[in-house]
Amino acid sequence: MSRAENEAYWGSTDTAPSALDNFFDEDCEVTWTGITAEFTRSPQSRHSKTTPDGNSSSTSSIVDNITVHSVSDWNYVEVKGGRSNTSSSSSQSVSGVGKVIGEKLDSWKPPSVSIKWNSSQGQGSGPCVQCAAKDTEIVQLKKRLENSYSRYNLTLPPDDTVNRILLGQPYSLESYRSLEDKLALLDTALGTMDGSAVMATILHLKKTVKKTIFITEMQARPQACNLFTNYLRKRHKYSEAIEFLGSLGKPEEAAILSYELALTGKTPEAKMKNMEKSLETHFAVPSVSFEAKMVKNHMKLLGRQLAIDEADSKDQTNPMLLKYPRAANVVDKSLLTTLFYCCMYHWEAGETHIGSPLALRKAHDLSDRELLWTALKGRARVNHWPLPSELDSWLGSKGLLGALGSLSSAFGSSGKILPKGIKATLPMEVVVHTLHSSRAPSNVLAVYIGLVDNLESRLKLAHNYKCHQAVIDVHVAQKDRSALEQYMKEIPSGSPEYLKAESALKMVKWKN
Amino acid sequence: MSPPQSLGLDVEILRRLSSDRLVRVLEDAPGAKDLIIDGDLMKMLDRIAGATLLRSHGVDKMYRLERVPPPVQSSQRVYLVRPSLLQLKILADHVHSDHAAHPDLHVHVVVVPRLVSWVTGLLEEEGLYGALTLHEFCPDFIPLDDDLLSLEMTSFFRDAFLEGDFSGCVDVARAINTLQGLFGQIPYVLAHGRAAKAVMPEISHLFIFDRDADYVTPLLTQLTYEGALDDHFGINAGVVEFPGEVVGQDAPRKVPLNSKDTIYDNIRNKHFASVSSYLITKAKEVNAKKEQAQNMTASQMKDFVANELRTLQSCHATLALHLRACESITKSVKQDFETQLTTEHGLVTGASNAGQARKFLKNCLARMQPLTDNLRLFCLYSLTQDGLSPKDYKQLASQMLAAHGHKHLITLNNLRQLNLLCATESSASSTGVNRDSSGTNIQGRLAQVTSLLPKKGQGWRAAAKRLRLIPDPDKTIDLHNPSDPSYVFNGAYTPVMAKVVGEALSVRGAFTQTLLDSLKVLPGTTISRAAPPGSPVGPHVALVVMMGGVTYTEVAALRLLAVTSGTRIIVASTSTINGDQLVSGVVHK
Repeated sequence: MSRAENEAYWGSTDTAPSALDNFFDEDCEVTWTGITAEFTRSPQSRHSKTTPDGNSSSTSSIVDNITVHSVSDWNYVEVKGGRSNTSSSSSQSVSGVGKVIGEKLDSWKPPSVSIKWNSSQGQGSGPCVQCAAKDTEIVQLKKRLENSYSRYNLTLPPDDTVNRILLGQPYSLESYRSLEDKLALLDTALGTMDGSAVMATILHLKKTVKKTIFITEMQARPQACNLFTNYLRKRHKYSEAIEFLGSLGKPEEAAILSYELALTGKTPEAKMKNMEKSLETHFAVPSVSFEAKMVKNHMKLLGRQLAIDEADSKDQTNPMLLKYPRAANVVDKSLLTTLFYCCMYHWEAGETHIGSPLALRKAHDLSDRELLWTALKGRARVNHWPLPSELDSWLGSKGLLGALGSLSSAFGSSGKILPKGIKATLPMEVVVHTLHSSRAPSNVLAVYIGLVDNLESRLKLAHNYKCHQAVIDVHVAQKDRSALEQYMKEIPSGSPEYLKAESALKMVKWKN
Repeated sequence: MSPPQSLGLDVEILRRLSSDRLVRVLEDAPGAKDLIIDGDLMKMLDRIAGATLLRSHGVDKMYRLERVPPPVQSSQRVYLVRPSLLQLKILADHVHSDHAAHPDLHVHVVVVPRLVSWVTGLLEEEGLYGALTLHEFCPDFIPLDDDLLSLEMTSFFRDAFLEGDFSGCVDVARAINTLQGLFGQIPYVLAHGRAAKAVMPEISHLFIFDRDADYVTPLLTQLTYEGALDDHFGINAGVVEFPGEVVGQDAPRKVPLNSKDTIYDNIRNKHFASVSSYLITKAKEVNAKKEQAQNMTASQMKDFVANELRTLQSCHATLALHLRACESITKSVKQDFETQLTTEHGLVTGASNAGQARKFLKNCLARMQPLTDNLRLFCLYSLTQDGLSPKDYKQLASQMLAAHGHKHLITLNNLRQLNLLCATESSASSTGVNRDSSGTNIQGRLAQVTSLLPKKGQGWRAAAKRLRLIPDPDKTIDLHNPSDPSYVFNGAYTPVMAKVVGEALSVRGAFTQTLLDSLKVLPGTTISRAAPPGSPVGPHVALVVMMGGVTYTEVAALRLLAVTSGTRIIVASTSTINGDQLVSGVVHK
């Protein structure tokens, strides 16, 4: 399609289509390695330009002009129409606003007498020409002073200074020396809600008053506290932020932040050590008991993952490890991912084994639901689809019925005995779907479909996943001979399912 | 469903303004220069100016700002950055490491949108203040479409609502001021929220809301076509990247989505359920026209090829593209999509019981569904229940951590700070007080008084009732030919924005007291301003600004409102957003 056609279609030349194929996108790897150019010009590409060299067009996206400079891949997208590297020295002729003002300031000498910004105006009485001239001069000088501002003892009203910060003009906070002035400045800044002004005034306050005053005043201004804490965080001044939150009387936030700091450890061992320290110093408050428990769990899990990894990396005998080489280290993965890993590699292991799924369950108080879902998926990965009975006995036989605690008690507070096991725990239709998409064999599917109580939905599922066995089972259960006979036409004769259906036809007592 | 476009106002001007301003900044560093761009600014810059424009103003090579500094080849280097401390630290490291080998290198720093105090502070600390030339580049709203403007400040939500940095508001105010400068003052203003309030002093008319006025909308699954595209493929600055299977090629391709594409314009706001049938009907029409061509005379044929064929072919290609997109979405939706929707809508309307939703959520967690999906549902559950009991919270939170990693303890804490999650204090103590309060003791009275105060994170249900966000369940909502904005959620919920704007526009003139009173149930305060009676009122054009990101669902609802109320509605926001982006913005990385 020609460029003209593009225009006709999109209606205007300077709209996006010409850049259609080459918008930037930091996530798109293709774009960054310069391969884009190829597909951009592929003839199928409806919106691509057909100009032969692709760069004579009036609009081009920035992205395909980005020079890639990753260390590993010095793949330059050479600049088209290459500009020479020798640049003119004209850069010196112009310098930014900031510099101009800076120079002005340098050349300006402070007056020996302090001039207050609000000194009385035009008090000169009497129609004296000279006086009038002097007055005008004073007014002018005053204006100039205000405009150029002083670093020394010329105090502008807080409004003006905050406005200057807001507008990116030069300002000075040095002259706000009384606490009252500083707080007025801070409150004015908070009134505008501009983070830039608020931060500048907070830092000024912090630099110039003692800690207790700083804390007291900040405490009264929660919005400022939040901003300041996040500033410290982003500057990686964690310990200062934690201390600040602590002295504000926010132990909960301090605790979470200390956990965040602990996680910045480079190695898992360092993380564990940090967490232990953080638990001792910051998580002792009762209001974060739940969070403390979670952090403890995290440590416990990391410890176990390290042990599992240590054992498995040396293990030469475990057939599963040989057959399915480990894709990744289990360290730093989530609890359920760890369980998934354990179900893959240590399904048979006894509870004393470090990698045993059941041991993991015991240590971390996993619910049946979490356990069953993960076991199903983990086993499917190694092409094993345990039957419900197998799973149920795996769950129960290890003497863990008592430990089913948390989950079932949520429903069973009335004291009635609840059915346990996979059928009661998981939504069977979703299970069947998961099994099917993990390519579980038809006979396994049939067993799981059989766990659905409602015959209608069972039949629907069976048809949906083309599970002959399950369909036959339903028809038999419904005693519906004609439906079964009808369905047999779809089964290849001679197949095990067909034979089964045939024998069912003879055995069962039909209603039609 | 095209809004009354006839009403004045060419928003394309805004793009030109921004582009001119960018050129001026570039010319502040005359001569050849290399450009190093903050990744966060890439998409925005591409919407403002192409590479050719940059080249014509001396830009030589362009790099993305990364930890490793690019090779020095030009005597000038221009950095385009957001005022983010982390990015600036990288920049400072670059300058330090380059200085040894290239002492003559002149470095310019362009801060977008504004030079803030911590930028200069950091540079001063690094000993670089004065050594670098500082500039500002403040872009205006970028028109993503005739009725959708964005500042592309994608981190605004986190910065403002989580970290308390509302400095972006100044830039929104500036942008709105530009609009007023161009198109005149608007006589009626309604602003609600913390961030919205900060914008006010600089402006004088329009609707402004904070994202936290309505968290439910982004948390729900989007059901309009455009919303579904955003949820599945992601729309960035008005451009979607379709994977190869959708475009029928090996490589993914980027496609701009806007009203210039008439077919897309017709389907973007449709309920997803009615899109494919529309596309199929259209495709049949196109085919029929092509078949007509078979029986044409030579001259007719010539005419046909010259005029219609091209349109038909591009129509055909677009139709096919969107059909494949529909197919791809339908295929990739989760197998239990129906259950997901029923659960979400049941939670919002209160029709189904919370226990079922909890069970569904627990299953999603145990199945390790994507983190953002699980967080969204968790937050929706908490919001619609007006907060969770401590027991519920602990159980779900620990399962969340088990599935996605313990580090998300920080994520959950962030969500609690935003009130997206809320664990109520144990109810035991309050019932204890209530039992006593049958008498006339002071404690009892006190408890009564305090119970009237809005509790943190509570009261969503009351707010929804007050604002009538949940439509009457007996009223049927036509999803295919909608007349009520709640069609975007199958008639289960009306986005707050659409509701309030709709109410306000239904009365000509000042905002009614009833409306202003009902806004009190939302977090934040309200500011309203009306023109003095008798002053001239221009054409009905409303600017609706959302601080912290607007969803395509809300845009669709407002587009419907534009038609039903005969008003041109322009939506402006700090960026467009969907539930995943909202949540992942506060996820601990």
